[in-house]
Amino acid sequence: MDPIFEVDDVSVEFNVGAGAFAGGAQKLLAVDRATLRIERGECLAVVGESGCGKTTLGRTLIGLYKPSRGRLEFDGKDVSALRGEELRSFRRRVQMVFQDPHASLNPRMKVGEIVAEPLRVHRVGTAKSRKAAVADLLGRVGLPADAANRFPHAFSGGQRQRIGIARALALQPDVIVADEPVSALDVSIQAQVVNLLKGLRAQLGLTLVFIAHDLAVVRYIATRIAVMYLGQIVEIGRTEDVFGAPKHPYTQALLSAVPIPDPDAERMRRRIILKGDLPSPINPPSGCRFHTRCEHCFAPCLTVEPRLIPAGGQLASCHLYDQALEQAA
Amino acid sequence: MSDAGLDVRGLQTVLSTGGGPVPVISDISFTLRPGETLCLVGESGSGKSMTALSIVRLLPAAARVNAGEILLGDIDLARLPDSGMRSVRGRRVAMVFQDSMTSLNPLLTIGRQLTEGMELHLGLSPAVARERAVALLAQVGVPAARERVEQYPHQLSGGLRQRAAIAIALSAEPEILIADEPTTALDVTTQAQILELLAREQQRRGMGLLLITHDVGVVARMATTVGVMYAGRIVEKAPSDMLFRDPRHPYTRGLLKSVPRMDTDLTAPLTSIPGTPPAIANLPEGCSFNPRCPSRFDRCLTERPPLIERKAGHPVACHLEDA
Ligand SMILES: Nc1ncnc2c1ncn2[C@@H]1O[C@H](COP(=O)(O)OP(=O)(O)OP(=O)(O)O)[C@@H](O)[C@H]1O
Ligand SMILES: Nc1ncnc2c1ncn2[C@@H]1O[C@H](COP(=O)(O)OP(=O)(O)OP(=O)(O)O)[C@@H](O)[C@H]1O
Ligand code: SF4
Ligand SMILES: [Mg+2]
Ligand SMILES: [Mg+2]
Repeated sequence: MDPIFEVDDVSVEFNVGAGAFAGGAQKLLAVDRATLRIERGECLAVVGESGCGKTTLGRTLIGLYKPSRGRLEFDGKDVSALRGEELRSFRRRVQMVFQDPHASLNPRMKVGEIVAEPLRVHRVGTAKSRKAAVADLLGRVGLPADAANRFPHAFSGGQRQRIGIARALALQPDVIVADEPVSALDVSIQAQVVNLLKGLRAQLGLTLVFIAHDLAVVRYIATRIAVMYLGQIVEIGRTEDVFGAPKHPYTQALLSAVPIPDPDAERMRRRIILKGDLPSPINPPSGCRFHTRCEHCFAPCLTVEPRLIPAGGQLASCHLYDQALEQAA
Repeated sequence: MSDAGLDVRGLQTVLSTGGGPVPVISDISFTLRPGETLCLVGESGSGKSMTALSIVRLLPAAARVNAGEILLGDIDLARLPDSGMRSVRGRRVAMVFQDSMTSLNPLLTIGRQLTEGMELHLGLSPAVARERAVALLAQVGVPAARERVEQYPHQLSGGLRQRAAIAIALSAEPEILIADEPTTALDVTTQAQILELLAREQQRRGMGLLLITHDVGVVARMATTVGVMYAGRIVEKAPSDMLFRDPRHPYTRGLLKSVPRMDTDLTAPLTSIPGTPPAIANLPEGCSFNPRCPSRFDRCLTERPPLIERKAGHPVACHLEDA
C-alpha cells in the first residue's frame, strides 16, 4: 500500500540571530534533508537530543511549516499544493498533540469547549452531539465527565496533556502527530495513555507519529524508530532492530543513557557519556554531524557527509557501515 | 551557610473553591539536609508542585498555606513577610519549574536573566556577570552559549529553554534548589548531563535538592530519600535503596511496576494502575487510594491510615501495615 506520508529530501530552515530583521540573518537548518515514509497504521517514533528538530519535523508534517527544499506528500498529494476542500480535509485528517500542554490550551476556554473546538471549527455535528462527543472523549483519556465544565488552570500538568489528546481525537483523524504526549505524565497514567494510543491505533487504524525523549516508553508503542541528530535522521528501522542492535554510535550512546528504575543497576551500569557539547545547529560540524562527539570517528567522518545506508536490518547514516569506504581505507 | 537545610513540618495548603477552602496538600513533613536529594514522586495531581510552590510562596491566587512550618535554618518561611520572602527566593531558595516558560521572563534575553541574580545577589560587576553567564550556559550544555545569551526564551527549543532556566536558578548559588520536573522535556543524554551538574553543584556547595520527578529512573539515580505522594499527602517515605527494595504502600508498588524498562518483555502490555486519582475536592472516605487499591479491606473504606514509622526511617500510611 502507498505510504500515508512521503517525506522526500525535506529541509526546514529558520532565520535566526541578531540580523534576523536587518536582512543579515543566519540560517538554522532545523530539519536537514529528511527522507522517510510513514506507512498507514504504523507508529513511527521520532527520538533524539533536544533541539534536534523533532518538533519541527512534526509541525512540517501537519503543514505548519513549509519545507525549504524537498517534497512532502500526504496520501499521494503534494501538501504545498493543497487548496480549498482538499486542504480542509488534510487539516481534519492530520492532528497534533503539542509538547507544552500549558501553552497549547486556551486558559479562557472551559475544557469542554477546548475539546469541542475542532468539531465546531470544522462544523461537525450539533451543539448537543458535540457535548456527547466531549463526554466520550474525556472518558477515553481517563478524565471525569465533569472536567468539561472547568478551566485548564484547574488541572495538573498531566491532566492537561490528556485534554490535548482528547482534542486531537475529536475529529477522528487518520494521523496523530503526538509531540511528547506522555512526557509530563505520571508513569501509571503514562501506561494508560500509551495503551490507549496503542489501542486506538489498532481499532481505528490510526497512524501515529510519536515524538518522544523517553526511549523506554517508545519501545512499547513504536513499530519503527527514527533517531534524529542535529536536524538529520541518523538511524531508522524497526523498533526491535534499532533497540536490539543499534548501529549509529549516537543511538548507542542514547540507549545507554536511559535511566534504569533500580538504584543497584544504576550504580553498576556503564554509560557511554557523550563528550563535548551538542554543536550549534546554526553552524553544524562538517562531514558527519556527530563526529565531534563520536568515539569511532575516523578520517572520512571529518569531511564526507554520510547518507542513510543499510546497516543490519535498519538504515544508519554512518561511515562505519559503508563497505566502499572500508575498502578504500 | 546554614547547615540545617530545609525542614518542612505539617504543611497544609488550601485552595478556595465555590464550596469553600479545600486542602490540596496536608501534613507534608520532610527534612532536606545540605548536599542531599529528596525526590518527590507521585501521581499527576497529587500535589507535588503545590508543595514546591508553597515553599517558595508562588502559589496561584486561589491557594494559600494554611498550617505548618517551612524552616530554612531558623527562619520560618511560612511566617516571613512578602518582602523577606522576595529576598530569600532566588538567592537562598531557587526554583526551576515544570514548564520552562514559567521560569523565564519572555521579555528579557537569556543573558539578562542570568546576570540579574549575579549582580543583585552576588554583587558581580556587569562585565564579570556576563562572562559567568556564558560559562554557566555552556556548563548546562547550551551550545553556542555566547550567541544564545542574546536570544529571547521563545527563540529556543523546549530543551534549551529548560537548560537556560536551570542556569538562571543556579546563578545566585542558592542553598536549596527546588526543581519541578526539570528534565522531563529533555532527552536522556542531556538529562544525564544535567543530573550530573546538579549533583556536582550539591557536592561543591552542599546545595540541598528537592527534586520532583515522575521518572523513577531519575529517582534511582539521584535520590537520597524518596517521598511518595498520593492525593495531597506523603503516603510513604524512605531512603532510596529501601524504597526500591521493599516498597510497602500498594500505590508505591503499583508505581514501580508500571515503569517502562528497557529490559522487560514487550509482549506484555505496560502495567498501569487502574482508575484515576481522585479530585482533591472530592476525596473518597478512608484511604484516598482505596478505589484503586488491589489490597483494600473494610477498614480502608472508613478510616484514613496515618503515616506511621513502624520501621525506622520508613514511614508508611497503609492499614495493611497493621494487619
Ligand atoms: N521558530 C523558530 N525560530 C528559530 N529557530 C527555531 C524555531 N523553532 C525551532 N528553532 C530551532 O530549530 C532547532 C530544532 O528545534 P525543535 O523545536 O524542532 O527541536 P526538538 O527536537 O523538538 O527539541 P525539544 O526536544 O527540545 O523539543 C533548534 O535549534 C531550535 O532552536
Ligand atoms: N491553579 C490552580 N487552581 C486550582 N486547582 C489547582 C491549580 N493548580 C493545581 N490545582 C489542583 O491542585 C492539585 C495538585 O496539583 P499539583 O499541580 O500540585 O499536582 P502535581 O503533583 O504537581 O501533578 P503533575 O505531576 O501533573 O505536575 C490537583 O488536583 C490540581 O488539579
Ligand atoms: S560517520 Fe564517523 S563520526 Fe559519524 S557516527 Fe559514524 S563513525 Fe562516528
Ligand atoms: Mg520539541
Ligand atoms: Mg506538577
